[in-house]
Formats: sequence, C-alpha cells, structure tokens
Amino acid sequence: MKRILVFTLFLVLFFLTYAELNADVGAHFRQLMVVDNGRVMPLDSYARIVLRRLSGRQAIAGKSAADWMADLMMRPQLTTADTVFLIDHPEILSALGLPGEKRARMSFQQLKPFLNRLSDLARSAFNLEPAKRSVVENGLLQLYENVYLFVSLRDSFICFLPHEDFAVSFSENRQLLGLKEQETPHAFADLFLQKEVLITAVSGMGSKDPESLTPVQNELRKLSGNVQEWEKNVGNSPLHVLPEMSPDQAWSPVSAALVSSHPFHQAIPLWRQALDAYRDGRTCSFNETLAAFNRLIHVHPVAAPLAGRIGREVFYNHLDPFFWSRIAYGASLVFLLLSFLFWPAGMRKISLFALTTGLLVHTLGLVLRFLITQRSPVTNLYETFLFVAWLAVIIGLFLGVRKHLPLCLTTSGSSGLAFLIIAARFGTGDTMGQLVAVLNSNWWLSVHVITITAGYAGCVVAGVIGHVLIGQLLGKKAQPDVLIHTERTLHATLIFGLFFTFLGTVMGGIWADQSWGRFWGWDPKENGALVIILWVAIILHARLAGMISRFGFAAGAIGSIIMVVLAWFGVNLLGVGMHSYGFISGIAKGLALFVLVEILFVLASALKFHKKRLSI
Amino acid sequence: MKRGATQRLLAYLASMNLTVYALFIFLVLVLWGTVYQASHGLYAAQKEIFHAWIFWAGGLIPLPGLILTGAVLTLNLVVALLVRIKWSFRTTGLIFIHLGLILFLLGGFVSRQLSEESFLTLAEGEGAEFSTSSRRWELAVWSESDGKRTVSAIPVDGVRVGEVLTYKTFHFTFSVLSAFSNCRPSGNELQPLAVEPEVERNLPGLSLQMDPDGEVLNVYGGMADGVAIVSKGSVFKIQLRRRRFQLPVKLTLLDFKKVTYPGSDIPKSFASRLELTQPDGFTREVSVSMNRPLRIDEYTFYQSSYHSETGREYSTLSVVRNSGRMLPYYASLLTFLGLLWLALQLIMGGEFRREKEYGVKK
Repeated sequence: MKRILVFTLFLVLFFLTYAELNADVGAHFRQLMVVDNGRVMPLDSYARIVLRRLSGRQAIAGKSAADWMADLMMRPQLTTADTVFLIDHPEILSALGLPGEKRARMSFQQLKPFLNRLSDLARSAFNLEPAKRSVVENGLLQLYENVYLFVSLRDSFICFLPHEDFAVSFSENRQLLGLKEQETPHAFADLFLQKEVLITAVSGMGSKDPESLTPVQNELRKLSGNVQEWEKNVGNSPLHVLPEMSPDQAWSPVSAALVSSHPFHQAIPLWRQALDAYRDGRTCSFNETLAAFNRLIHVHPVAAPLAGRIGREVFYNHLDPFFWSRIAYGASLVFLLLSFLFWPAGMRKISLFALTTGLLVHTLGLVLRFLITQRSPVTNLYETFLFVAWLAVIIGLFLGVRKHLPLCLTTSGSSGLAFLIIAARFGTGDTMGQLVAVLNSNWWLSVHVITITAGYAGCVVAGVIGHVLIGQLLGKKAQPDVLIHTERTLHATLIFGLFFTFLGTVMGGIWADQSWGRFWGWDPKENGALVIILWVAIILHARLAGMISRFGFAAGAIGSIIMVVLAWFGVNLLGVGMHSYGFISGIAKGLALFVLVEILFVLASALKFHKKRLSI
Repeated sequence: MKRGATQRLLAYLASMNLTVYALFIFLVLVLWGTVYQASHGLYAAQKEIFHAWIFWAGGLIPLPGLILTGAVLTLNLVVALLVRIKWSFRTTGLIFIHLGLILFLLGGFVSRQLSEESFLTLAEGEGAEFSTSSRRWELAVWSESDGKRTVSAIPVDGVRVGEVLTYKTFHFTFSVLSAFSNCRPSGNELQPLAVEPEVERNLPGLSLQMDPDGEVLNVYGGMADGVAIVSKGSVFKIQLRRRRFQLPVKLTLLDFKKVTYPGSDIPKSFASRLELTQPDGFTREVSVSMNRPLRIDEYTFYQSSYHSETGREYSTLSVVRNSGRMLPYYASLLTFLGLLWLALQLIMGGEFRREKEYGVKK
C-alpha cells in the first residue's frame, strides 16, 4: 500500500511538470537549440545560465529566465529597468562611483551613466596578468563582460527591429526601395535586402558635396552609409542557433545569416515573423513559427543527433529534481527529530517515506542527467556532490532499516541534505559543460571518479555514525548491545570507505600512468586521497591494537569526514589564496568553520565522556 | 620466561603500534608536503619531503622524511607478515593486501630511482633522435672533422666547486671555479639569481678553468650553440645545454591537430601524427593523442602541449622512460585480490570476529 502511494505521488509529480511544460506559451522558444561554450543546449538552460551569471538568480521580476530573455531580445525596452547586474563587492561600487553599502543589484538603466568608467577600469584590469588581479579587478572585469553579454544579447535581433538609422521619410525613397508606408522607422533587414538598389542609387554621388544634393538624395546616402556600418557588427550576437555543415564548426546567430550567405536563409523570414508576433502579443503565432523553425533545425544532419536531448533537458530544468530531493531529505530529518518528542513509530515511518521519496527523485535527476549528457555520471565537482549525496543515502539505508531505523534516517538524511545543499551552491554555471581533452572519454578516468566518490561517501557516512556513537556513549543509559552494534556498523562502513577510496586512488594512478606516464606524482588531489586512506588505516589499526577506545574510534571516524572534505574540495582552495573571487573564499570560510566546529564537538564530548567515566 | 632483546625488538617491529605511528608520520608528511608544494613548488616539496630520507622542518628540526617513513613501514609490514600474522586460509586476503602494499612501497622507490622524464618538441616536418630534459643539464663538447661530429657530454647537476670534469675522448679537463643554480651573464661575469620554485625556469652557470693552467671561461644555460675553444692546437665547440637522451627510434612530426568544441576555446582533442623510423631503417606512421600515448620498449610518449610560432605548429611530447612501470600494476592486482577475498569473507561470514578474522596473536 505504502509503495503504491509513493509511486503514485511520484508519477503525479512527473506528469504535472510535464503537462505544465507543454502547455506553456513559450514551449518552443525554450526548446530552441543554442550553442554555448561548445555545448548544444535548449535556450531554457542558456537563459538560466546567463541570468544566474549576471544576477545570481534563477528568475527576475516574476519572469522565468527564458521569458526574461525573450523580452530582452524582442522587447528590450521592457528589461532596461530589471535589476539584473549583481555587484557583490563594496569596492566595485565605489570604484564606479555608485551608491550602495555592501552589494547591490543594478539595472542597465542605472548602470548606463557609469559605463565609460567601467570600460576604462576593466581595460586596465584586463592588461594585468590574470594571477595578479585583485578581487576588485576581477569583479570589474566580470561586470564589464556581463554588461557586454547583456548588450549583445539584447541586440540579437536588432536587425529586425525598427531603428532611427533606417527612418525613410521621403515616399520617393520608399518607393525606390520597395518599402511599406509606415509610421515607425524601418529595420536594418528591410534596407539590407535592398542593398543593391541602394548602392546603385548612391553610386553617382560618392564625392559630391552634401549641399549640392537634394534632401531625398542625402537621405539615400545616409541610409546607404548606415547599412554598410551596421553590416559589420550586426552578426555578433552570442545567440548561436544555426548549425553549420560540419559538427566542428561554430554555429551562427540569425543576424549573421542575414548578412552572410548562410545556407539557413529560410530561417530569416521565420524569425522575422516570430519577432513581429511576439511584439504584437500574438502568442499562438509566435509559438507556431518557432515550432516551424525548430522542425527545420531538427532535421539538420549536425543538430539531428542532439535534438532528443533538448526536450529532456528542458524537462530536467523544470522538474529541478535536486531541489525537491533536498526538501524531502530535510523533511525526513524534521520528522525524525519530531519522533523523539512524540509518536515515535509513526513519525519515523513518515520520515522514512520522505527519505525514500527524496531518493527516488534524486535517482531520477541522475538518470535524466545521464540521458542528457550521455557520459559518465561524475565528471565535475558539482556532479561529485550529487553522486556522493546519493550514495551516502543508499549506504545509510543499508545500515538496517528494520532494526536500527533512527541510525539509518540520521545518516541518510543528514548526508543527503548536506551534500545537496553544497551542490546547489556550486552549481552556478553550466553544470553539464563540455570536458577538456584530458578528461574526455577515458574508461579508467570514469571508473576512477565513480569509485573514489563511493569511497568518499563511505567515509562521510562513517563520520555521521561516529557522531551517533558519541551521542550514545554520552547518553544516560548506554546499552552495551546498542553500542556494540553501532561500533560494528561504523567498522564496516569505514572498511567500505577504505576499500573504495583505495581502489579509486589506484585507478586514478592507472589513469595517470595511461595519460601522462606516471602512476603517482604528489599532486594535491592525489595526496588528498592518500590522506584519507592513511587516516582510515590509522584508526582501524589503532582500534585493532587497542591503542584507542570506542570513544577514540568514534572521534577518529569524525576525523575521516574532515579528511574527506579537505581532500575533496579543500585542495581546490590551495594556492587560490588572496585572488579568489567572493564565492570561493566563502567556501574556504565555511570549510574552516566546519572543521573548527567538529574539533570543538569532539573535544567537548571527550571532556564530558571523561567526567562520566570518573563518576561511575 | 623473560624474552631476549632481539625478540622484543622483533615484536616491536612487527607490532601494529609501530604501524600506527609510522602511518601517522606518513600522513603528517603528506599533508605538510601538499601545503609546502603550494608555496615552494612541487620540485622543492619532492626534494625536501616526498623524496627525502630526512626532512628538516623549518630548516632546523630533523624529522623522518617520506622515504625513511616508507622504509620503516615496509620493514614493519615484512616483519609483521613473517612473525605476527598467522598464515592460514582465513588470513589469505589480509596477506595479499599487505604483500601488495609492500610492492607499492618498493615500486614507488624503484620507479623514483629508475624513471627519467624528458621532452621532445618538434615543428611540423622536423625530426629528432633524442629528447631533452627540462630540469637537468649537461656540458657538451664536440669536434668536427669531415662533416662528422664527435660529441662528449657530462651531466653537471649538483656539480661542486673544485670538481674536475674529464673529457677522455678529447684528452682535456675542466675544473669548476664556481657554480650557480640560476644566473645570467653580465659582461664577463656570471651574476647569480634567486632560485625559482619552478625548476624548469632556472638557467644554471659554471665558471671553468680548462686543464690545470688553461684559460678561464663561463658557460651558462641559454648560451649560443657551440662556443669555440682551443686546446692543444685543435678547435672544439662547447655548450651548457639541457641534458639530452638518445631515443630508440627517430620521430618526425608530420602533422599536429587541435580540435575545439564548436564556438568555444575548450579543447576537445590534441593529436600528433608522426613518422617513426627504426634503427634498421623500417619506417611507419604512428599517432600520439591525449590519453593515447605511444609505447616503445621502456619509453612512453605522451601528447603534452603545443604552440604555434610564425605560422608553424609545434607539438611537445613528454617522454617517460621507466623500467619499473609495471610494478604498481602488479601491486594493485595483489591488493585488489586481497580486498576482494576479505570482502567476500565479510559478506559470507556475516559477523565481525576480530581476533579470529585478523589472526592477531595476543
């Protein structure tokens, strides 16, 4: 019955997201194939990455990232007041002469008067060696790049939008160029398509004095000049949506297809229609046009093999599985805590239910990621957090759901929650980015990373059990059989952790030998793994030799979490030092705080344990 | 019965207490070395800690270096296997693991002694029969007659003042008047510079006196190719250069190819297409790419880096010669089998019965 309930809930969640997704007006816009940093992704992901990069947020002014991007490109005047630029250092604000105490979010409109100063500052920062730039200089450079990205995205379709530069006021000229009579100015595209006519018309007046020309002629000359000026820059949008014939070639933006002879000429009228529809609020027509464009792209030989992943990725973005599993693990811990206050059996069942639901959604998230990226599940730091959290929850569940439910729930819930929270903080850029050559497609590497993360998970779970064991030792009525069971579980988990860390490290050595000819090179990352192995070997042998008590064993297990955390991302902070940007130094602070709290915990409980023994 | 001193020593050498202490020192050294490396560079960390018998902490306090600690651990493991751990069917897994670990420690030591790393940078169309060291130097002397070159080279790493370098082929000697790890020429003098943490960037220099009473000359890293000297009426050329290693084959770079992901700078792959000429003249084409090295006997060639200069593409291969290369593989296999045995025992045996499982002698 319970299982049926879980599955029903799961399916409902699944279909609700799916249904919501397809009913959405911007569905086809979100599914546009865009290339960013060498990866083909749906526009939905691209918009999220861009918005998060600019503002650190997922949505802005009540609009989703994709909706915001649609407005930015097609109705830019609606977005100039959106506060999308995050400035998170007070010295950047003061360097620009902006008001604000600590951090601020500014709109393009607010930033506009300061852009000249920003560009000067950014240029001088750019001329420094990257390693010598300070936090502020890096921040200024980043802000400049962000503004540049914003502007070039905003101007992606400027070629189709009415512009003062292409105002044709004389009807003779309109007739000559075959333009419609209209109130608003024309767009670059209108005049560019008549470029030949324009050039012929102005060919005779090249060097003549403007005074000697009629106003009609002068307008033609001005239009011709503007068209040629625009032609140079109009194709520079970062929105690369048109595939080329070779898979290794960069994709092109729509505006580039307009000014160059791109094979995708059919795309231009489609985009023009879509743009007009969007600006007039004709959602249906907008959607249909983009659907037609997507169909066109999906049959392209370069894009076709990747088309299937696009829908999956949009679905993954909307489901946001790791957010929901985070909530579920958190809920599981809350119910576990409540169970110590009242209705223990029932509350623990609810807690287990929340945990398993979280695990299911977590698993679904990992499977979706695999279906999207089609490569080994652990290829970057972000993915190690997802994977370790997942494994830790599973290991926790193996500790004995029937007999020792609280132990299970504590270890699974807390490690799952903790690592998913860290993952969320790390997953700010494109978490599915392309792999650099050395990491690309090597069997040993994939197996090595998966194995070593399993080792990390084992050691982390052992550390959590260490906490539980210390709690039991300090408790008023410590029952011997409970203590023995917890210690045995701890012992087994440590061996599990040691086994996989060791295996993973050895495989890493094999990979290194296959890839650059040395099994071991005292690289910080290698040393980190070695430190975990040594630490776990020390506590296992010390306990075996009777050098440490049960309490010492538990404290040692807590030490293994510290070692894992140091090896895992502590080494990434080595040598980063002063020049790191806000976020990394935040991580370093968090890390130091965590280690300090754990050490204090062990010391305080050691003191209490000592007193308790004396009092018996 | 009172035990003799030898037995007590043996018991201590086999004890887990020693294991724990040695492992702990090992751990401290690895952590220290990792942090040390971030500020002083890998080479210094290796020299001072990882590849040292004695580590002078802060330059003052002698601590066991990693090699000494490793040696103690190896001894501890060997003695434990001989006298403490029971050899039985039950302890097979354990014995395998510890044998594997011994092999790891020995293998690490052997590889450090036997392996030699060097580089081979080729422009497209260029070929070479030797590779170059990035941190070791040699003083090469050659004479040319009838278009044939006779070369004699002596490694000069760690050469001391007062040492005499003897070139038997040419019947003359150099005595070292002064030696610098990093320097640059200034006028007729060598001006010493602070030693760079990245050893590859140091350019050493020597001040030499030819024969017991001959002329004094300065040689330094980065000097012109072959400076002429005269001894007993014949002309020789001399150069302080990065050490060269003869390769078993000749390699010629035909083409270097770098592929990036579309529209980005993220490299997808690097590959060098080479022509390999064996000593017997047999020629074939081979390719070296990221994660796909070329192996010839004890030599392995890896795609290391590339650059382009005045329109020509250069590919750099790193060349590793390591006759102990397979040792870690054997060690891994042994340890893995042991771990597998232990895991199966745990899964099938269920409960943990420490004393019996580990064969600890009380």
